[in-house]
Amino acid sequence: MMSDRLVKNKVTLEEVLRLKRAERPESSFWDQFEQQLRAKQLAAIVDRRPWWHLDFSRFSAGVAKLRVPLGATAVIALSLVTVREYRKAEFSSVVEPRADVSANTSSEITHLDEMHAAAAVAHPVRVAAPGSEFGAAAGASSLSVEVQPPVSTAVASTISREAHPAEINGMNNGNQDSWAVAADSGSHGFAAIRTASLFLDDSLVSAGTEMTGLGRVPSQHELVEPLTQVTAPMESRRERLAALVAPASMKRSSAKSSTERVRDRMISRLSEDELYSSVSRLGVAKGGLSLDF
Amino acid sequence: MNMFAKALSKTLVASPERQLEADSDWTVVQRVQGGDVAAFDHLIRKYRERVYAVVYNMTSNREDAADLTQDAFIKAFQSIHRFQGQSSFFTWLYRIAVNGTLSHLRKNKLRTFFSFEKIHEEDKAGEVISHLTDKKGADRELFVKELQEKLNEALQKLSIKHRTVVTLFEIDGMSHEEIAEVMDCSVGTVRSRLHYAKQLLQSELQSYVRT
Repeated sequence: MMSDRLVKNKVTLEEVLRLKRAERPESSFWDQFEQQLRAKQLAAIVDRRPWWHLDFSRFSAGVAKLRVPLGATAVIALSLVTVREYRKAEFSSVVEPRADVSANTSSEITHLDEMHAAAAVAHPVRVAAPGSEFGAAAGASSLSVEVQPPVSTAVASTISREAHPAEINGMNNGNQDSWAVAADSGSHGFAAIRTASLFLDDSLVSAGTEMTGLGRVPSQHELVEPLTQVTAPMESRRERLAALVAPASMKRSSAKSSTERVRDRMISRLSEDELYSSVSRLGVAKGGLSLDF
Repeated sequence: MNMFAKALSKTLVASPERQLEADSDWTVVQRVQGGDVAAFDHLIRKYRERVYAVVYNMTSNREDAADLTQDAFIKAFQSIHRFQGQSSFFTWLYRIAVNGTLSHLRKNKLRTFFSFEKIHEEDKAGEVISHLTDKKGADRELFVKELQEKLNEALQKLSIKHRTVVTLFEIDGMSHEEIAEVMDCSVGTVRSRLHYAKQLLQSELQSYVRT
């Protein structure tokens, strides 16, 4: 190892570093260097360059010219999308669980059923069935029901007890299982039918029907499950049959007592066994319904 | 080339010699850009020693230096159509070479293998060595070899950026402004790095260097 005494005189750092300039390769080295460089240069000319090494200067120059119009278009498109999404969200949002009901039934009861709540449809149901047979049976020309989905699982089922005391009992006692199956699989169509049969438009009331003792309209804070308002197939069938059998003069009649009398008479003629057997013949498969007579 | 670019390139060139050099290089570059590929050989022959020296002093490995110098020329050849004369050609070429070398050194940080060129004792180098020792013959050769190793070891102890600044300023003789342009940093940063690097080299080479 070199020591200080072996060094004759010390020099400056710059002078020592200048020694590095004297580190040079031999002249033969440059011949070899040039050959290698030539080979690499030829290979570079022949080889295709990858796409990320391509010259994008022309492309970027073209884009630079369109910068302002492209930016403006992007801003407009973004605003349109934002407004559209906002409006969509506004329509789909649920404000309050409520049910706008206008019915010609005399009274109602509230029937809670957790099982049907599980099968309830989460989407709001809007039904407008002008001139349907249900409306005709009630002497109405139009019918509209609007039901929005509930928040709680409690189910409020409005059923006309006075008009159909027997069927309520029958539903609660005997054929609840088949009712549940039908209600679960019936989905929106059933819900529409059910609600249509129960709640009629306000216009019916103002049309002069004597059925002024209408059912209690649920308050806005009351939770109403859409499927809870679905009538059991048995019940709707019973009503349909009653409407068919009733004479036209009776349909037009606004007298409550006579309507009730006719209905009771019809219901009494249809035996319970007959009705239940017709319900049991109700077949449900692959989202479709079939009735066997 | 537009007038602004031309004026800018002139302001970035330090001395009148460099300015003349830059102008003549620009003429050759335009020929290459026009399709005269053989004209690039002129630029290679003109700058190969200087580029090689910079890369060699940064890596302290002659094989790596040869490869990196060749790669720098190939990259310059491939990108010559993008060169628009904002700076002088040699500054642009140096930047390609230095960036390639920095990338190589970062990739091979743990692999440090030295292979030195022979010191040619001509001109000032011989004087410096004679000032350091009275030895002759084989002893002198041994002394020179040991000095060379010490010098390269000291340089390798510097960080890559400090080493680059020392190499470009003390060995290649570039100005602070040119180094700042090549390394894409401010002149103050160059001066600061140079000062720090010299301090460290002074302590490493205290056996040879006057304090």
